[in-house]
Amino acid sequence: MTQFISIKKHIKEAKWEGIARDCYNQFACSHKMCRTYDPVVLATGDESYSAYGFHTSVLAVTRGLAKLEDLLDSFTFCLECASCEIRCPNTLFSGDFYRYTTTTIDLVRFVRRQLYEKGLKPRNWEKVEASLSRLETVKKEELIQWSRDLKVKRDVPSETVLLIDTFTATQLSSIARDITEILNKLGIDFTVIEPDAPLQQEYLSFNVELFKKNARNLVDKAVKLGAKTALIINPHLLTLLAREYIKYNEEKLPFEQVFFTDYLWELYKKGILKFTKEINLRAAYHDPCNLSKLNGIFDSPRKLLKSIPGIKYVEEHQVLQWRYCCGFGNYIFKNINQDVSLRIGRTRVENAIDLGADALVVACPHCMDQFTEVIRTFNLNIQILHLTELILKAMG
Amino acid sequence: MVEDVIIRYGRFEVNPKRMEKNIVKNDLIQEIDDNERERIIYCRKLYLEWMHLHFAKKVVKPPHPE
Repeated sequence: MTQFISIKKHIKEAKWEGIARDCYNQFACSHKMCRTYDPVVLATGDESYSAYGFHTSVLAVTRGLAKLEDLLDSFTFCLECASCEIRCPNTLFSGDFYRYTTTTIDLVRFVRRQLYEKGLKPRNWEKVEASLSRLETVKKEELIQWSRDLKVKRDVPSETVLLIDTFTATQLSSIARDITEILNKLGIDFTVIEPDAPLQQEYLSFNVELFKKNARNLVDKAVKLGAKTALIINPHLLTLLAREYIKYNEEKLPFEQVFFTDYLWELYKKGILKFTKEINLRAAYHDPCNLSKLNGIFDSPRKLLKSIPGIKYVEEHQVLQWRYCCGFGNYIFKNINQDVSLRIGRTRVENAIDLGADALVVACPHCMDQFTEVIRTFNLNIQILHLTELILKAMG
Repeated sequence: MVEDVIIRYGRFEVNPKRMEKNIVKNDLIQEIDDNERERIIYCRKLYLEWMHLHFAKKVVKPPHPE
């Protein structure tokens, strides 16, 4: 697993002249593929929430045709899913050639920060603060509660560390428990680390300094234990370490970060991980945005799922899934635009049902949480399963 | 059209000197590393593969010249 560097100097240094030129590039685009792939545009039919819409709005501000305050609510409609970024012909067909790509997420976060600095908060902001506060006020005892009856090591030096983020540790602890049991069964020597303070992508939209501080603390904690490999189970945390840490903290990670599916697939290839129990299930796989579109991990979760005996895998091509999202995005999108969020999730789940799948398998705790809410809200008949659960069962 | 290219890692790339005229002049600089480029190239391969799978089921014959 490697780190990705994609930093636009004018956005980082808030140079409006460069930002205006950058936005003009999008405004002058005649493809506008972002309108056909963006989950929010597909759910709402409103093109102002596409990459084209965001860039054009900022261009209007730089030309004095609109005020920055006018963007307050519309800029909450970004899932940060990178669908528009990867599908933009400027990225997909010429980004590597010209070394210049579409970076909507960075622009949206930049505008949100500018608005927040002016003291402007979008509607329902108190809900966002409440969700973040729930994670920030978690006590140490609560954070380690998930592993109460499991054999885990903490604060013991080890070359492999298992990073359990605050959300997974406190709200979807079954995933953390499953991966720990898998690693224990495989005889892997590892130490568990939970961050002292949550590392959230939402901070990049209003408090970069807090992100930098929390990221630095987490990295220091792992370094102190002599970590050479950090195993990650939350794709959002993976993005923050693989893409954002170098951008904001301006230094490379001192260890290698590996997503659990990549790690387990390597063990499967070596014959260390074996599946002995059959699971009879017709399963479809959902590509989490942070894993697929932002980190390019498409294969290992699919290969692991297909390797489980008894699984009838229902394939949906990776490219078709670029237009999907579970609808969570982050706490900003989820809490401010709850109805749109659920509609996006419903579209995704109904598609899996149309394929004839009994279960939709995910590899992200936020997707799991969101889909569970979606099937309950709309009374949909499908199981939502996390990949770790299936792997553990198949190991026997 | 970019007529001035170099070949790096087996792939065409715009000669950086030429980019200085167009990009650097306008203060548009993006720092991109090879991992990010590989990610884009991988996604492009996936996309083209899907395009071919999607559209190659039927080949339309050209109309017979009357």
